[in-house]
Amino acid sequence: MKRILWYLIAGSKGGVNRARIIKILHDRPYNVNQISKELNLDYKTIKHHIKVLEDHDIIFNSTGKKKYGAMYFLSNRMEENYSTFLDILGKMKTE
Amino acid sequence: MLAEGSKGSGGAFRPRYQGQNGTGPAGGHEPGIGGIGFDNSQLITVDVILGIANICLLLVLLYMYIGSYRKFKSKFTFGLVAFALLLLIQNALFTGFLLIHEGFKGPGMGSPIFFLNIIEFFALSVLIGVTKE
Repeated sequence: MKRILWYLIAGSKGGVNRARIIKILHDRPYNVNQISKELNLDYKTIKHHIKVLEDHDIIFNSTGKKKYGAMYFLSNRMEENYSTFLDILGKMKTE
Repeated sequence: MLAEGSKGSGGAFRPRYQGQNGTGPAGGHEPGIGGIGFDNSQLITVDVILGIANICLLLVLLYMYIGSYRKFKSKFTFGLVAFALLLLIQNALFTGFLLIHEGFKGPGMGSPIFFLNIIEFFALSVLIGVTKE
């Protein structure tokens, strides 16, 4: 899990936006549209990142299937490793 | 040595024992991949092109890794940059040797280098694919 997080956030393109998504989902669940408004990013960008994060079991959606407006939550696995996530963020230059 | 190459694909249909004689001047006619009909010098040219393609892929990878290193200054991202840079140097040197050193394009060298380079090409493509995700 630690390795996946490092790669998804620090080792590939768009990692910063993925980190921002994880960060706001830690506060409360959002749907794709709300995230895109909150982060001021394109809907399709968010959708792409959501899919990648979902594939890696970092987040999951409440309905269990791809439904419009589904709310996304951090997975248990992600919640358990949230301190690793904060470590990675600590190394980030901006913020 | 490459003057023999003018006989073209005929080399592939020669009796095996001639092609295997690496010491003679005809040694450059070792049949190519499974005897499809490329001679050694043609294969070396393909190898050089593949080597340059690998260098381009590594430049793309290095560019992406430097991008994340600038955002996250960590041991992990530094490692990625160092990895791509060292592999880039290795490939640049190898392709350079292939062009300059006669020994690297000696008889029978074409197809082994072809396989090494094509495998590296796909390996780097996969890495770029998952890094772009």
